[in-house]
Amino acid sequence: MMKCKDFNNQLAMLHNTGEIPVDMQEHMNHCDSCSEAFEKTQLLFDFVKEERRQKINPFVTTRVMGQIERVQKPAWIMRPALVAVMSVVVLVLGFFSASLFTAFEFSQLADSTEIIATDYFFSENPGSQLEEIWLNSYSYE
Amino acid sequence: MQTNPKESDLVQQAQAGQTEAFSVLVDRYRQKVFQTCMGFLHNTDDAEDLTQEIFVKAWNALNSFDGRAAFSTWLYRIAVNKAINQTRRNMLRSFTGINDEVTESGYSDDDAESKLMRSEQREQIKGAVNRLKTKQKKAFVLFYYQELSLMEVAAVLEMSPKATESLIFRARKKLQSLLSR
Repeated sequence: MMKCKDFNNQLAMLHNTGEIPVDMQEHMNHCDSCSEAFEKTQLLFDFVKEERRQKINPFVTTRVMGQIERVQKPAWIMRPALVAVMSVVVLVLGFFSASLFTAFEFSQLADSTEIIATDYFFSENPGSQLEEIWLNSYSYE
Repeated sequence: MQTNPKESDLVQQAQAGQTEAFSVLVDRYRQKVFQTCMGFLHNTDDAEDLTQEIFVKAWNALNSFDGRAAFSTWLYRIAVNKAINQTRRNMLRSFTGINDEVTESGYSDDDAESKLMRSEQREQIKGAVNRLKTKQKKAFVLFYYQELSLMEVAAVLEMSPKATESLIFRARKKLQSLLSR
């Protein structure tokens, strides 16, 4: 007849409760505590089997690769800032390049206006030149 | 016909920085690593998060892999060590009352009493597994959750097969004793 100690040792070596040796089965028929120990072991195996059956979400691979690539390319973190700075630079250059084409026409106009204004405001007898022009032009009429 | 790339080639490519090669390795081992995490954490969401962390850690430590052991052995070693650390953190959280979540049972039993009994049994088993010594728990999870052979468990734990067998036996004896209380 098997002893409880031997039963427990054999039970600890069983990796599957489906295959019980005959002597263990006979011992359980007469020993309640060992029968209970066997039931608990069965519960343990069921618990492990249930947890083992759980499947991992296949999306985990994408999550892992995403995390790795984020860490691997820290330069990309600067990308939005770089885009913003470059946009401002392009805008400013755009404004200046437009003034390159229009500056010549405006400068000619500005020069003539400046001469007339200087003659008028800074001459000692402002308006005399104009008066002369007007008087002369009337004499021709 | 598409052929499966050799593991050693994939590891070499990954060590050279090719993320595509590492992605194939993640696909190949994610379920096994997840099962290890389940053995320690007993919660699918936590186990998935930890699986992700383990692969990121493996990627960062890839250059330390010298090919003396199989890649899987090296990966499982990282997995069990990370899982042990996570278990300790969780124990600290439950001690301080931060982690008071109730895990959902997979049983669809309508009988409330039997559901409660199953839930209590599950908690008792979880508690017993968590009370195993670190090395015993590692051996138990690798052997029963991952279904690795004694030789493979021994390689992961860097022990002799005889010592590993003894470790698993002691883990089982301890569990029997804890569950019979």
